[in-house]
Amino acid sequence: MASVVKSFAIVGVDAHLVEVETKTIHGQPLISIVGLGDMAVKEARERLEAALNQKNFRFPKMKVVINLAPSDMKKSGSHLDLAMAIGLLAETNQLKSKKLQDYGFIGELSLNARLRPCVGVLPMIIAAKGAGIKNVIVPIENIKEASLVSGVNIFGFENLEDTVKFLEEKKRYQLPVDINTNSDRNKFDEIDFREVRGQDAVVEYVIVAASGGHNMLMIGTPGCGKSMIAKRIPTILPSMTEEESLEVTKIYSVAGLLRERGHLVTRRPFRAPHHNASTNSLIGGGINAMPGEISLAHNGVLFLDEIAEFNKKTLESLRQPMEDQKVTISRVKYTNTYPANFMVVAAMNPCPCGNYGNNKCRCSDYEVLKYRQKISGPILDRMDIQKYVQPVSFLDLSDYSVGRSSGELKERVEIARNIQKERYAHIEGVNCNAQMTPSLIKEYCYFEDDSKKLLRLAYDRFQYSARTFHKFLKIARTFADLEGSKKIRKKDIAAALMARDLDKEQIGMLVL
Amino acid sequence: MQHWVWLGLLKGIGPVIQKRLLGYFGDAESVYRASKSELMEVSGVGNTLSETIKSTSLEEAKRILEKTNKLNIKILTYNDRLYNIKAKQCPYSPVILYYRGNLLPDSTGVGIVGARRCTDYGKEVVKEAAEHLANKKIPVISGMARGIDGYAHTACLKAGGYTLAFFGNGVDICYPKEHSELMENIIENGAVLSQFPPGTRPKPEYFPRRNSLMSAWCKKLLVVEAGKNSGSLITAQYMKELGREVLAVPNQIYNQTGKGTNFLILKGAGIYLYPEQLLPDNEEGLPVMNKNIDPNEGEISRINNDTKRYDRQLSKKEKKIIESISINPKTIEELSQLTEINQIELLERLSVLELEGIIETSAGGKFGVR
Repeated sequence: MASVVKSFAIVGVDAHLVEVETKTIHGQPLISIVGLGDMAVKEARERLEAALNQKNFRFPKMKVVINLAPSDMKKSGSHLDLAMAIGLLAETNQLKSKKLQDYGFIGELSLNARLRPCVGVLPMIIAAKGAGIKNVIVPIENIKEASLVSGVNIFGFENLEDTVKFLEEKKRYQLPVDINTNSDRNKFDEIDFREVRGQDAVVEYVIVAASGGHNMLMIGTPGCGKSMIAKRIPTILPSMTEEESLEVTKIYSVAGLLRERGHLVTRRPFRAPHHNASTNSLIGGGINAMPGEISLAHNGVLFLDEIAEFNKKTLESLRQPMEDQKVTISRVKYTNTYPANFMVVAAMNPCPCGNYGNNKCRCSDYEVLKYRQKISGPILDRMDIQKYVQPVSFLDLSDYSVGRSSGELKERVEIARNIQKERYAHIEGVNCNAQMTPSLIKEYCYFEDDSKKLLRLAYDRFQYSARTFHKFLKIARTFADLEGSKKIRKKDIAAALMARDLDKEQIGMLVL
Repeated sequence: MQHWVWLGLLKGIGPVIQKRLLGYFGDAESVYRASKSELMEVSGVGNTLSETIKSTSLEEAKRILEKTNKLNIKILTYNDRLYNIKAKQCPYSPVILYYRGNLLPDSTGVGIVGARRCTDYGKEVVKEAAEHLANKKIPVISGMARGIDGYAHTACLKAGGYTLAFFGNGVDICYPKEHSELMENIIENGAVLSQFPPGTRPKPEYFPRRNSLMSAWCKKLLVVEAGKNSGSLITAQYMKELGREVLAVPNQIYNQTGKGTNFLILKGAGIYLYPEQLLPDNEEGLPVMNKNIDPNEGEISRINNDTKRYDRQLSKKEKKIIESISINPKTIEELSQLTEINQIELLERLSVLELEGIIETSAGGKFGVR
């Protein structure tokens, strides 16, 4: 009878149950692992052999066949090592335990039979829970991450010997005490919107963007504070629900970015890829079809600094995930779908020299337009809000009252978000104002009479297209929500009409 | 026609001698057929020049002619009635010009030239001037360079005017490349001209000659933001030699971009204050404008807009806002400090004022009075 031990395999952000079957056969000493494992799985045989040649164990001098079932599913990673080792020990009677079936095993083996931490532990524990496995054994470093899932008993061990002793009930399990408890919870608290001073108008639009899920483009001279503002946006986004948290943590776990953190990601992610980023690093890819920046920014902010410097093709590739809120990566070996519901905040200079609009600038209108055209129409179109950020004179800074704090702003954002959540509860795929379709706009944007007059005026003056008008209406809806107003008031429309600086500027340009 | 092209190609013979030859022999073909001794009769033509004339074959001219036919480039000869008399008077005007587009019977107009790298101030001045000229149906003449030149053509075309561009290269080449769209528009609503045969690439030494040609077509010249060694100053010099009026836009005295124009003013150029100055003085064939404009009589709207009327009563705060931005555009941060109205309230007020057409957004997200 072959021994059967349970472990898991990761596909995309989800894990599946894998049964590790081990059988020893009389024949030439040899170990063969079948079941579509990748190189990391195949190389496990060397680690197994070394680890099982420690003082208390011996490696069987027989033919060993290990099968990873289901055998037609591709498996990757070194976390299957522990399950294979346990299976082999059980098969060769070096481990006698009747409870093996109640446990799941995750862990990489070192040559000294130590257990090394692995990536993707969280989704694997979630899979264990789904499969009805009550106990999971993990490397000691992964205990915290594994414990995020309630309803599964987690046992963390330092090495194979302890694991075996525990399974044979020769030793009782003791929760290790020195799990390091430092967290990154304080990292964000150091930055606050209070430090942004004298830029109330822009901050107001940031609040709107955060509340209504609108994408935002900030334009400004170098050093005017675009990045400073962008970095603070996560501090005013509403707290994540547990479900959202788990989604994000899963992605980070799969991407191997959770190892140092070891707890549920509760802060909304803020990702700021450099403009040299490749398409694959942004969207996701690689041989294993790993998640990219947009998935790492799931439920958070993707900040594209110097958006005009990004490769055009790379930017265009954002279009589809921005619409679908998920991305499907296809490679020869894998096809994975990752969630990618993120808010884009971008920053750029207004012209090649960066000083457009003040005396230093000598760029011709043609050059300015050419520079802006580096961002394609469709991408610009998805930026509901396009605001100038004006540099604040250093000398005047002290005159300003202290800016509004993140906590204060976050409260406002949460109120507006709650109103939207209620409004769109029965509509699938729409969570915020930015996602309203034209028919929803018709349904949910009701005006005061004064507002209509103002809209008429705006049409006569700027001849906006219907599409642009819809953007204004969505933003106006968010402005009204921020103050809990049912109807869109005149002031909401007035403020919304100021949200797109670039559009207006183009009208005045002397270019054919 | 090939003889005309041939005449334009003769090495070492410029517009002055060319015209003398034409005056003596009547037309280009006669020049070509004349014997060496006949050629020597013309003053200024010596042994060397007559040798050149006799030894230059028609081959090159034929090749160029073929090219013009293929590219739909027209040729304007000195004897053509479209060749403006006023331009002919100029000693430097060449005997043959290549052009694309349509030439009016009288295509002389007002030249606008200036810096390639100009400021918003320069752009504003050019825009106003060119639009004014376009509205008065006066051709705008310039060199289609970057900056001021390009803005002059563009503003004129946008206002539905007629414009001529003079090139320092062949009319089949677009220089600078970024103006290809502009060039097409000029050809449609005006013309691009050059004394250089098609295929000639732009070279620094060609531009002064282009400038002299341009000055031949200008009744008046407006120089905007010329630098110290600007080519615009050369154009202004030619205008002076022709005894035609040069107007310069004054600039701050410490400002590098305005050094040349300020210098022109020092040397006696007119000071440009408002577009009406560009209109022709009493002259035949053109709409006559009253030269004696009294700045106080409201003809010049810009100087006289203190008592601008609005459709509705403005509130106290609104008046304060308008007052703060009346001289130059301000950012919302600056406005907030000046008016002591908080930025969020300002947003709303500015938006309404803008929609009502009282203020407007200018470059860099600033607000200015319309």
